Amino acid sequence: MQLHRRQILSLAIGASLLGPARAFAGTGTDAPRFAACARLADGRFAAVLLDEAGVILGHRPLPGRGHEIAHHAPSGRFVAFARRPGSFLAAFGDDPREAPQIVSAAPGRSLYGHGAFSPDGALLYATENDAAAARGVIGVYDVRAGYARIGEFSSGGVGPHELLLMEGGRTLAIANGGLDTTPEFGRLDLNTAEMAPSLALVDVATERVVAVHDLGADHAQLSIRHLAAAEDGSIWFGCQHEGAPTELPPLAGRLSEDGAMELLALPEGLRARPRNYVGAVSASRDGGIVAFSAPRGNVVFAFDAATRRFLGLAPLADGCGIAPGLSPDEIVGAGGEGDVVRFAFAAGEEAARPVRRDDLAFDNHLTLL
Amino acid sequence: MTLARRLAALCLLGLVTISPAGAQESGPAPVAALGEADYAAIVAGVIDGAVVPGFATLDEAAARFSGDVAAFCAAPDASGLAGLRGSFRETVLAFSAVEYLRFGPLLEDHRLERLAFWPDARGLGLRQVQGALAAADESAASAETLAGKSVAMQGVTALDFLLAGAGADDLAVPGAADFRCRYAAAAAANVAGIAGDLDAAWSDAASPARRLFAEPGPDNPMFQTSREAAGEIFKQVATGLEIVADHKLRTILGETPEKAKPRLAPFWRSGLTMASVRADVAGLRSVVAASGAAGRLPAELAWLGNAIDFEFANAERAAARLDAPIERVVSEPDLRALAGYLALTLSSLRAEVGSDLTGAIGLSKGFNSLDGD
Repeated sequence: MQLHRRQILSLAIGASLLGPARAFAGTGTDAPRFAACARLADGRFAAVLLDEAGVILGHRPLPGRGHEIAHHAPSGRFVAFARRPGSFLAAFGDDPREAPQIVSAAPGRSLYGHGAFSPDGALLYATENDAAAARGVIGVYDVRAGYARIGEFSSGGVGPHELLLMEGGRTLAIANGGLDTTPEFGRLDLNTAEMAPSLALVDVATERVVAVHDLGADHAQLSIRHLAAAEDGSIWFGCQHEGAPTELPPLAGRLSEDGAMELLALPEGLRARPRNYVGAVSASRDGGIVAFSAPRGNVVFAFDAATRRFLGLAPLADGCGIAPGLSPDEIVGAGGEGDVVRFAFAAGEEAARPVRRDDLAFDNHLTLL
Repeated sequence: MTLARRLAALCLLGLVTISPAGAQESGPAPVAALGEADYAAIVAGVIDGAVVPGFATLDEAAARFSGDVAAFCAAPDASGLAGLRGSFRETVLAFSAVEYLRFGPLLEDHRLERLAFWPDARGLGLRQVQGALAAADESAASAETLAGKSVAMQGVTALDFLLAGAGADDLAVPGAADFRCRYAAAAAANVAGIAGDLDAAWSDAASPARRLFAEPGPDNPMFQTSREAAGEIFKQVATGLEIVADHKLRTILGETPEKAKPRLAPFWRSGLTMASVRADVAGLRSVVAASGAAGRLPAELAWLGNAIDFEFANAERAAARLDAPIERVVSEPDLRALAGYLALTLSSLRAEVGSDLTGAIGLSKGFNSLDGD
């Protein structure tokens, strides 16, 4: 995203409102390279922009707690989705002086934290819950018509969370977490004993579900929640275990080319470290490494995409948001204690390099702009 | 990291002690310098003082109830039904006292949901129970096969319908509700079986559940340290307080009487909703008391232990005064107001126990289990 000088200045002014922590701001470059939802030191929720050195360039207030930010690079637009069960999208243009447009969830629908732009930027897809029918849907929004919601289609399962546009936007991969909720009971999961998570594939042109993959009865309580695509086009997923915590099932997996769902376990001595919960999945920029964050265990771990070899596990306090780094095989992570860290998993286990620490709490996802 | 947390972390390392002057208005919150032995004692206090006795009580009540149902079905009459509903009440209250001890054996084999399926937000459980009755489904009339059926139709929530739902009074008439009685007997035996397994798991000091909490370390699937084990216990207490306040009370009350949802309340047919809430609160209070955490607070925060105890007492008293059918609680202005006050008190307790108390004894605040994405 290219910024003009006066835009940089106004962002800097916004940044100064964050308070005395600004005194520690280093000399970053001027272009925003990452975006994340965060909770500021004063408790307000915001979408935050960072440069490649992890310096916070500015923030945009959100009406409530946000989750993921979707970005369309050519137009500079980005959208922050409310955390599930959410009632808003906040749409930002590339002019930082403009207030965000707040789009409310449709009647009978809750936003479920994630979404993506179509490659041409004309449409925005969002994972949503049709609570009355206990089914997941993908809401379709017309970007140029003020994000008017123009339709929806089945997500192929219950509790859709992250989605991924594949094959130039022709196929949508959807992580259906399998957990049912209703508005009256908020975030209480109603069906953990009988949940049926899945990874569904939808043909975008026809809006029809073409495949639904699951992990089998033995892993019915592994909620498939987050996705990333590797260089070979395979879809990798990260899970949250909803069963007995002593079971420690593998939380990382991939859908192979022949439609088989594989789970990848950590080495024996590390199995307990993620605490049964993966919060985000990201590939490196070259797609050769896939990383998984585990905020409850304060760690990030990674696998080699081609060989499926375990590459290492590194610490990040309350670390959840992970994104491709600036060099091809690097991963960047941001944590709930304000850390920004660079991981070089290809280099070996002691791979984490702290970049900055700021006085805010990064939320669950980090987006490379 | 904020200054407060940095100092708290240094305190834990014994490198810095906080002076109490002005602790309330300015400067960092005081934190007691507890070590692993202290946390191990806190964990042992809870396990020995609340968890083990709590599941022993549930086992006794469930066994007695199961025996009562079997005896009743052999010779049903009105006074027998009244007695049965009495021992059902004792089972529900014993369950409520431990329902938020969501660690270890309660989370295995779907025991929690099989014991009690709540909320039944979509009425699935109700439909399954009614369906089994309508079809006289024999697989529901045997404890072994019932255990393998849907979780929503085999526990105390199913028994609430069987003993007090539509048609339940027929149970007192010999021959009028034989299948219903056999289903109830199977469900009661199922509950007793689960309760027996839980008691066996907790009462044996060498069991995996006990060792999970007593032997933290690198080979422990959940806890590297006793500090983590203590953190998990308090996290579940905070979660329990939140569920009772937000879901058993506020969701059921609704914003107005017109928006109330009394039929989503647990055990509403048996009129046991508020008695169950009171037992929930008493159970959570006993965990906090058994932990001895209040006694380990820094001197300048001793008031916090007293405040927590005071609020728990207020909450129990309010719940006792609310012991009326839930339809009245959600509709009568005085009872609604009191229930709202109870919810407020429990939310306040959640912050005091889940943040203030835990922070002051050096536990990290962490996620509660309703947090995450």
